[in-house]
Amino acid sequence: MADEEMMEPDAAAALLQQSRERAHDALAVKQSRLYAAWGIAWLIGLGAMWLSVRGQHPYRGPSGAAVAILAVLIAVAIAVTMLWVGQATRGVGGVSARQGAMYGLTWAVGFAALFVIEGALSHTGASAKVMGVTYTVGPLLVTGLIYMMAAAIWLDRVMFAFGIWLLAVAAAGAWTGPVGVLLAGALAGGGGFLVVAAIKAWRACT
Amino acid sequence: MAGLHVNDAELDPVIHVPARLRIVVTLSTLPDGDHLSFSRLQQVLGLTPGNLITHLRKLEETGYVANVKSKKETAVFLTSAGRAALDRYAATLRGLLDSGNSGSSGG
Repeated sequence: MADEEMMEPDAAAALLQQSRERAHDALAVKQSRLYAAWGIAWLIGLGAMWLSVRGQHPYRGPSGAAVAILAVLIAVAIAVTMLWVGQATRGVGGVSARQGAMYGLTWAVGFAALFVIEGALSHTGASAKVMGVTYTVGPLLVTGLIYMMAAAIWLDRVMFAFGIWLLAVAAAGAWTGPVGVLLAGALAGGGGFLVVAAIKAWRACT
Repeated sequence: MAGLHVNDAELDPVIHVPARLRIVVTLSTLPDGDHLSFSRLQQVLGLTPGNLITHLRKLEETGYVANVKSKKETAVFLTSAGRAALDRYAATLRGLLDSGNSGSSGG
C-alpha cells in the first residue's frame, strides 16, 4: 500500500511544510480580501455620495442614485464576506465557530439598532444636515467599536489599531459637516480599509 | 552523534506515514477547542473516505486524534497528546536533517 511506504526525512519535512501551507490556505479566512472588498465599497460608495452633495447650497442631501450605488456596493460586500468566510470555515466547529457566530450577529444587531435610532432621530425632527452627518459617522462608530472588541478576541493588533482609526475618523469627521464627513469617510475610512488589506496581504506572504 | 538519544532519533511511526502526517498537520492548524468535520477534512486532504477512516482509526487508537459526534456529522480534532507528538516528530525530523547535512558537508 503506497501510503504505508516509509519516507526519507527530507521528503517528510517537505510534506509537513506543504500540508501546513495547504491547510492554512483552505481553512484560514483571507482577511486581506475582505478588507479590500469593504474598502472598495466604502471608498466608491461614500465617494459617490460626496460627489452628489458637494455642490449643494443649501445642503439638501445625497441623490437617490448615489444612495443606490452605496447600497448595492454594501450588499455585494456583505455577500462576498459571507461567501468567503463560509467557504473557509465550512466543517470547522467548536470554540471559534461559536465566537464567529456571535461576532457575525454583533454586526447584524449593531447595524439594525443603528438604523432604528437614525429613523427615530429623523422622526424627532433632526435636520437633513444632522441626518447627513449621522448616516456617515454611525456606521464608522459601530464598525470601529466592533473591530476593537473583535481584535481582543483574536489578539489582532492591526484590527485593533484600525478600530481606533475608524473611531477617530468618525469623531473628527462629524465636525466637518454633512459634506466633509462623506469625503473623510470615503478617503480615511474606505482608504483605511485598503491600507489594512495591503498590510494583511503583505503579512500573509511573509 | 554522541549526544543524540536513541528515542530522539526515531520518528514516531504513527505519524511517519504520508497520509497520517497530512491528517495530523492539517488538524494542528486549527486552534485548541476547534474540530473539523470528516467531509471537510476529506476535501482538504483529497483522500478517499475509506482511506481516511483507516488512518483516523489508527490515530484515535494512539490517542492523537479524538472525535465529536453530532446529529449531523462526525468531527475530529487533534488531542494535546497528538499536538505534542507532532511537535516531537518535527523536532526529530529537524535533528535528523541537521545531522545529515553537517555530516555530508564534512563538519
